[in-house]
Amino acid sequence: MKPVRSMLPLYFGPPNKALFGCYHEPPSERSRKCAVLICQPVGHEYINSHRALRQLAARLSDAGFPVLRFDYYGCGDSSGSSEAGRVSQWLENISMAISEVRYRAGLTQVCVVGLRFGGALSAIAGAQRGDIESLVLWDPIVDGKSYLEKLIFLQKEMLRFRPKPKRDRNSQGHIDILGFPLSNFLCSELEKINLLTLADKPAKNVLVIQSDQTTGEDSLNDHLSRIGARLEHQRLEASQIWLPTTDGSLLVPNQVLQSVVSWTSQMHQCQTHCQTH
Amino acid sequence: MKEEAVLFGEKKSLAGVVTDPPTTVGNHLRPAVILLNPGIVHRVGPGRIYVKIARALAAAGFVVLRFDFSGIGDSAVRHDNLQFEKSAIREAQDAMDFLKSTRGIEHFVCLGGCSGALISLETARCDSRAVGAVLINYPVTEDEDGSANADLVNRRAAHYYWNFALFNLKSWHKFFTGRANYRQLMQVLRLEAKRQFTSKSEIPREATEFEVNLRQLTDRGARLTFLCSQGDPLLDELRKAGGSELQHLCALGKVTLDIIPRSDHTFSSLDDHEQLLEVILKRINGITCSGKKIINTPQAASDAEAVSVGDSVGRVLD
Repeated sequence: MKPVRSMLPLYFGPPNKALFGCYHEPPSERSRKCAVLICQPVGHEYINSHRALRQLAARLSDAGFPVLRFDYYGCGDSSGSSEAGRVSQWLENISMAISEVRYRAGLTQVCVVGLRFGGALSAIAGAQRGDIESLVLWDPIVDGKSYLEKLIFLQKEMLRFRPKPKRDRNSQGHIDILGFPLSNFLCSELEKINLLTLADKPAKNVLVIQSDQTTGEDSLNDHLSRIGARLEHQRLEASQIWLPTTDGSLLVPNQVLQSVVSWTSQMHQCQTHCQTH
Repeated sequence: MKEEAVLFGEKKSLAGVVTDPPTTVGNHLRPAVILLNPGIVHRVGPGRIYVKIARALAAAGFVVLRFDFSGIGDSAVRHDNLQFEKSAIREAQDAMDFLKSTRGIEHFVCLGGCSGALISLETARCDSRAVGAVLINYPVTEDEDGSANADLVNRRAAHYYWNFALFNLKSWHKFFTGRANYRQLMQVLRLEAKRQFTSKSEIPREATEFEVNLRQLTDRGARLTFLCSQGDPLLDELRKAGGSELQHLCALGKVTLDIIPRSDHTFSSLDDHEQLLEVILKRINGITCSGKKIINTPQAASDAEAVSVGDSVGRVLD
């Protein structure tokens, strides 16, 4: 058997609100002065994109980056019930995860990669903090209201092909989106999210990757440029991996992963004997 | 309750999370529950259901390990060319070894959905430390390569038509207003006619093996629970493959077949989750172990014949 690359599953943060993460250590012969934090989507999109983001973490780590993937509070393996998710809590979680990856890697520079709602959260966190070196927004949610509408539509579509649940979840303070509860409070938080209202740039350098044609990319690109981010935009033909597939397969969009690794590597050059892949 | 991220296995390459009950005293006397990946979904499970199961069981006093098989989720890929069916069983056994060495537990219940159910049953067959298995939507008809049969789409459609569309006014409205999928309807009718014709003359090889496996396991004293979604075509396949042996074992209380009403294959609604959790807790609470001998509690035996999920319409082999 080949030796297994170093990946450490761990819990971090306060014990009563511990977050689950996977820390990918880079090979010792390659080192970059920047750590990477991966911000995952939420709900069913988190489940569907886990495989791709795990591979992205492995590739970034191969390229010399220490990488932390983590689950927000009430998501994945992290503590908290699924009903407990809050945008404010998740933004705090991102800050906590940034501290964690900095501590583990012994580095201060951080690049954040966010997919879908993870993209929206990382952009907001970056704008609030002002210390993110570079940011990759992979098909980010730009407008929370239309995101919510699409989730509700997806749920309605799904109900066409399965028996309708007995109970009306809305009366219990949350709605059911493909088995994930979306509390009324979280819905109201989602409705307020709009990346076009960010007042400060989320990072010095921003890469926007767009494979979903419906997310109003031009207005986001214009806005990010207007608030002073050095922006690169890539339109890629790739599957929308966050959506459920008919056969239950989990997709890994090689071209997107390659783009993220390549751009991040250009932004943060190697310190020693680094080879590009 | 405490959760710990762990790496275990020969190469420390299998990633998982152990959920320990709030109290540490006497945990080793109960079987630990090992959750096996449902297909290629990582150990969190669809709708985060495995996390819910693990926490609910831990709150009831069980140590629970959810982990990823090699190449799935956070676990590294194997490089030894071992077939998945074999490596998965070996890795489930690694999980048992890990819980024995870290928690002193010697008996286990394997729980898994879909292909995780297949591996759970096979692991229980290969390793007598497994005193029970909870098999969610057990895929009797999977091909050797693990993929579903080619006509699965039609069988699913057939199941949908017979169980839901037939009683749905909207479906009839669509049928009479030219908006139904008539082509699929015809395919389904053809398939059903063919199945009715062949089922009388053919007994699939897998079904025979399946029956033998059930008998062997229950003779050893292992407690088996099949949990099936009412909205899943695999239920019909399971009934056919289990045949009279499954009925007989259910009647004896050695095997339980619980049907979760109004649920689908992946339990994609919160109502499905609640019902599933309720049944899992009930069934696993019914599996106890004392030394190497398993005690089938009288309650567990009687439950096998009269299942109810809250006030819903759970049935056994009706």
